[in-house]
Amino acid sequence: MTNRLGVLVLLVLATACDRLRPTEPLEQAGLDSQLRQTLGVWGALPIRQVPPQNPALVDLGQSLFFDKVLSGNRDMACATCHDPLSQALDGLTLSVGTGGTGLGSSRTLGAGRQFVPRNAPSLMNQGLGFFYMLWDGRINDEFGGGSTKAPAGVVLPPGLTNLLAAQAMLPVLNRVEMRGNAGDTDVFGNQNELANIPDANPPDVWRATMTRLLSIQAYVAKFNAAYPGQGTANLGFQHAANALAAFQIHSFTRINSPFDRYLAHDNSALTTEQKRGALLFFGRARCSTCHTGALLGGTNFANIGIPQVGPGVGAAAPLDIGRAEHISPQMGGSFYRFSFRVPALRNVELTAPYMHNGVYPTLEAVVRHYTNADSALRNYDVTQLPVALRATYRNDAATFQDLLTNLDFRLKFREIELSATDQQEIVAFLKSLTDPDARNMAGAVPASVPSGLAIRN
Amino acid sequence: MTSRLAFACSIAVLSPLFGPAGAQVIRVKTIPVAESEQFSFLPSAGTGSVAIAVADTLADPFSNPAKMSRVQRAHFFGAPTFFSVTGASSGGSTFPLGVMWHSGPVFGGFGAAFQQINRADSRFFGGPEPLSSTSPGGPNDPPGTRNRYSFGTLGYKLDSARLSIAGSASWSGLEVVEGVDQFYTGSEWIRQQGEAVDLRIGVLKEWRGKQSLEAVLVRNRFGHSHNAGLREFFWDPATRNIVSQTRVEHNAERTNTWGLHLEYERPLADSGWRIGALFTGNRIEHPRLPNYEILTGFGHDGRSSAYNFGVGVGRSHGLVTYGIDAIYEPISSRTRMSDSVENRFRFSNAKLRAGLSRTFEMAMPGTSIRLQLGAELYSVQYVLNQHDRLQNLGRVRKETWLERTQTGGMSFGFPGFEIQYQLRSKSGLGRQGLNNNPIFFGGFGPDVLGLTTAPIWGPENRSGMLESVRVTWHQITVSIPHR
Repeated sequence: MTNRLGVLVLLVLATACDRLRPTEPLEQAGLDSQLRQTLGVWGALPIRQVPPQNPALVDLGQSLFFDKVLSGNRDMACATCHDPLSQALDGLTLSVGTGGTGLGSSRTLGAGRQFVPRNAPSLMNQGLGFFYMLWDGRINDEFGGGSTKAPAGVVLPPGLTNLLAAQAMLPVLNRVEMRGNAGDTDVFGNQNELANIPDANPPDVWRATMTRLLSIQAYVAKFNAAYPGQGTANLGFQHAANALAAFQIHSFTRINSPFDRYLAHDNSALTTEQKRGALLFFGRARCSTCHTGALLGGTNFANIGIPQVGPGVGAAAPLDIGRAEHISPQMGGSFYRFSFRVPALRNVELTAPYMHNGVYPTLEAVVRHYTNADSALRNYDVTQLPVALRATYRNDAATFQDLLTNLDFRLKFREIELSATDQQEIVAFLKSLTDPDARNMAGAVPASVPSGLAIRN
Repeated sequence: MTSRLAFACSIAVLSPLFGPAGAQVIRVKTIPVAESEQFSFLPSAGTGSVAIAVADTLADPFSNPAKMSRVQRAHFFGAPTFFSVTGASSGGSTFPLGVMWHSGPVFGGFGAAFQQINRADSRFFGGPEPLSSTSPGGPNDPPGTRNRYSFGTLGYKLDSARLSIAGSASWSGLEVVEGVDQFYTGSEWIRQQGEAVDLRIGVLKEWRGKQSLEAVLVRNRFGHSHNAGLREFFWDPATRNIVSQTRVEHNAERTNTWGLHLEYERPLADSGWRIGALFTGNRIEHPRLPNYEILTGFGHDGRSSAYNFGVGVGRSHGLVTYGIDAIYEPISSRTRMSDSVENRFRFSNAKLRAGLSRTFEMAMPGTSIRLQLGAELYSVQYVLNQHDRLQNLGRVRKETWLERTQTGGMSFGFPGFEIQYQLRSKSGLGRQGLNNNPIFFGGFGPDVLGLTTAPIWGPENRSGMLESVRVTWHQITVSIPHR
C-alpha cells in the first residue's frame, strides 16, 4: 500500500505540474464582456444630450419648417418631405418636390415634374455633430474648425451657426425640391418670383425668400423675438436657416434607444439576439468598419454597389455618381465614384426605404445586399421599386461594370458570409437602435403657420 | 448601488479570510478569477498542503485554536510573506509577528501583521481630458495601500480528560484588497475600506494512541466598501468631440458566515499510517453571485450552504512523511439578481491534495534540512439554474474549471531556531485581461482621404475576458523557541 500511495502522490504532483501553461486565454467571459470590448474598439460611445436651444429660435424654426411659403409655388414645406408623422421623412423611394400632391408615401409626382434624384433622409438626429450633410456630403466641415464648404456655385453667407443650418440654405435654391421652374405660378395663380431668379444667383433667391417671409407680420415678430436687437433690415435667410436648425435639433433628436441604454451600463437593455447581432455588426459582418464611431456612421463615404435608379444628378445624369460629383478628378474624385455618405444608424428601423435612392424597402433586404454586393446588384429585384421608377433602373452591363469597378474595398475582395440567422440577428440589433419616442413625433407639428397656408394637404 | 459589467465574482471571494484559518470557511466562486493571496501569511510547516491526516504544527493552531495546546513551549515567529499576480502587475508583502505559549493548563498566542499592497493602477494613453468632474467625495489623497491584522488565542487544557478548549479572535482593518480594481475597469482612483472579524471556539479531544476528535465553531464577518472614480467617454454634439467626465461609483458588500468543522483522525495500528476524516458545514450570507456574464451590483442578496466531506491518509516513515487528502465539496446557493430573476447554483467541487516531505539529518547535532513538495487540484463544477419569475423563463448553464497549486519548501533546523522558505504557485485562474489595443476612437472626424480619421487613443481597455495569470507566493518563516 505504501508504494501505491507514493505512486498516487507522485501522480497528483505530476498532473499538477504538467498543466503549467501560463498566459493561455481562459474561457470567454460572456456575451456582454465580448460586446463591451468590441464596442470600445470601435469607439461606440454614449452621446451627450444636445445643448438646449433658444425657445424663440425653435418657435421661429417650427413655423418655417411647416410653412409652404418657403417654396416658390407655395406648395412645399420642409415638412412635406420630412414629415414628423413619418419620422421626419416621406417614406418614398425618391422624393417628390414642388408640383406634387399628397403627403408622405402617398405623395405623387406633378405633371411635367421629375423625381428628386435621391431619397429624403430622416432629419432625426441631424444635430448630433456630423461633419457632412446630405448623401453626397456637399455641405461639410471636412477640415473641422467650422469652415463650412458648400457645393460649387454657392457661397454661403456668414453667421450660420452649424452645419445643419448651412444645409437648410440649399433646398430653397433647388428647382425640383422647392423653388420651381421659371414661369411657374404658385397655388394662388401668382407668379413664382423665386423661380425666375437665375440659378447662378443664390443670394437673390435667399433675399427674395426673406422678402416673402418679412411681408408677413407674424414672421417679423417671430424673427425679432429670435434675434432681438438684430433689426429687421439686417435679417438674412441665414437667420431663418439657423432657426430651422434649432428647431430640428430641439424636436428631432432621439437618442434614448435600448442600445444607448446599454452603452450607459444597462446590460438588460438589449436582448440576447440583439447582443449577438451587435457582435456580428461590430465583428464578423464588418458593418462597423463603415458605421463607426459614436454615431454609427456619418463620417465617411462608400460605394457599396447600389443599383442606379432615378433621373441622375448633374453632369453624370442619368447616373448618380454621388460624392465624386463634387470632387475634381485631380483631387481624387474617381476614388469616390458612386460613393455616398454612410448614414448614421440610430432609429434606422423607422427610416425605410433605404440607401441613397431608396431601392431597398426593408432592413432585411439591406443586410442581404452586403453578403454579396456584386450579386445583389446584378440580380436586383426591380419589383421592390414603385412602378413609376422601374423604368429608370439601369441594369445594363456597362453600368454594372462602372459600379463594381470602384466597389468599396471592404466589399470587393472578400464576401461577408452571413447565415439567415446571422442576418436576422443583425436586423434585431438594428432595431435596438430605435428610440421609442421616435415612433411618434406628432408633438412637433404646429396648429398653424404664419402664412396661413395649410400644413397637411 | 450601480449596475456594472463585471465577470469577476464578489470581493468576498477575493478575500475570504486571512491565514490557514480559512480552511473552515468555504469559498463560493462562480468564475475562475484568481483570488488574492494577500490573506495567506500565517506560518505553516506542513507537508505540501495536506491537512487531514498529516499535522502542521505551525498552521493547525490557527485553524482550531484548541490545537494550540499541542505547543510544547513558548516560541516566537515571524513570517515575511510576498505574493504577486503575474500579468496583473500587482502583489504585496506582509510582515506578521507572533508568539505562542503554553504554561500549565493555559495556552495562548497573539500576533499582528502589517501589509503593503501594490495596486495595479489604471494607465492612460492620452485621449480627451475630463470635461468636468462629478466626483463628490472623490478624495485627492493617494489611495490606501496598507492593511493591519491582529489575532489572539486563549485556551485551557484539562489534562485529566485530554480535552482542550480555546477561543480565538482575529481582526483585519483593510484599506485595500488586491484585485478590487478588476471591478472598476478604467477607474482613475479607488478608495476602499473594510473590516473582517473572525471568532472561533475550538475543542480538541485526544485519546491515548494519538486518536483525536476536534470541533470548531466559526463566526466570520466581512464588510467592505469601495468608491471608484470612473472616467467615462461621450460624444458631445455641441463640440463635435469626444469628452470625458468622472463618475463615482459606490459599492458595499457584506459576507457573514457561520461554520462548524469536525475532524477525526487516528493511527492505523502500528503501521505508521494515519487516517482522518473531516466535515465542514458553512451557512453563508453573501453578495450576489454573478453568472458568467454579468454582475449586477454587489449587495448581500445571496445565501449558500456549503459543505466539505473529506478523508485523508498519511504516513510518517522514518524521515519521510507523505499524505493525500480527498475532499468533496457540495454547495447550494441562491442569489437574487433582480426583483424577478434568481440564480440557483449547485456545485460539486472536489479537491485532491498530495504532499511529500523528507528530512535530512545533518552532521552537526540538532541540525537538519527538510524538503517538501506538494500539489493540489481543485475542480469546480456547477450547474446554474436561472429563473425569471415574471417572464416565466429559465435557462441552465454548466461551468467547470480546474485550479492547480504547487508548493515547495525547504527548512533548516538549528538548535536555537528554525528557518523555512516556502513557495506556492497557483494556475488555472485568470484576471480580466488588458487589451493590447486601447480604445480606438476612430471614425469621428471628417473623411478627408476617403478613410476614417486618425485614431484618438483612449485609456486602456480591459478585454473583458479572463486571461491566465499565475499567483505566486513566497514565505520565509523564522521560529525561535523561548528558552
